[in-house]
Amino acid sequence: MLLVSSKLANERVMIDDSSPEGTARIHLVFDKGKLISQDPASTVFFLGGG
Amino acid sequence: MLSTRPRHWLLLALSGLLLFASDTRAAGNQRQLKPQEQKVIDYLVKDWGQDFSVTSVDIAMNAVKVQPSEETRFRIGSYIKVHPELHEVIRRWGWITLVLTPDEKLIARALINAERENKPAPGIAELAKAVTVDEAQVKRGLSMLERYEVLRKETSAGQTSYRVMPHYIKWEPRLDFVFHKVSLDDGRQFNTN
Repeated sequence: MLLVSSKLANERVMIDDSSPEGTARIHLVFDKGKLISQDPASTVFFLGGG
Repeated sequence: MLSTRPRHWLLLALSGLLLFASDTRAAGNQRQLKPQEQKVIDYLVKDWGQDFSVTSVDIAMNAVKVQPSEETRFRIGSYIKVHPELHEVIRRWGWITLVLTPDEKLIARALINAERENKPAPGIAELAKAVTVDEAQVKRGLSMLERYEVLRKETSAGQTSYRVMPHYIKWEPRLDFVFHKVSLDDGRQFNTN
């Protein structure tokens, strides 16, 4: 997230990941630092902050 | 004088044997890389650490346009495994993080989770479904994991199954076999930690 919101803040960034407790794949797309799509839709994404 | 001479010969013979044994072991570990493989290593060493990169071998092979090949990937991965001095990223994140593909990591995780939960090891079809790949990809993944000694193949009554090596069962759950692959519009790909 640090990269997406700083160095890559003006870019379209795709992240392929997985659920750490299983084998489900997660695909996220950020555009200019903002999350624009997430698959699966039920993905819980922690944006940080206190 | 005469009584000590045989001991000297024995010591000399043992020293020679030890030298031969260590040379043989070193030759086994110090794989000679082909120029294309060295190109991948050079790319990785330059890439690792930049933008929190822990880029894996498959991505690097694609970046430097090396012909996709399981054998080439295994040779490069094996080189990284025995050369942690190449980069801090290898020492910090471990060679497993860098040499396995996402599919292989997910296959390993499916087997490890089943073993941790005392469930029967999933078969090829179950693994394919869990990892959302086809059965041929699962077989290739299992073969690679076996070559890296993450898994051990067992055959009983004509049935083949795979067991996770005990070392990996003890790894921290939810922190093992992870990947975070980043793709940018300009085509650059890398993994982060």
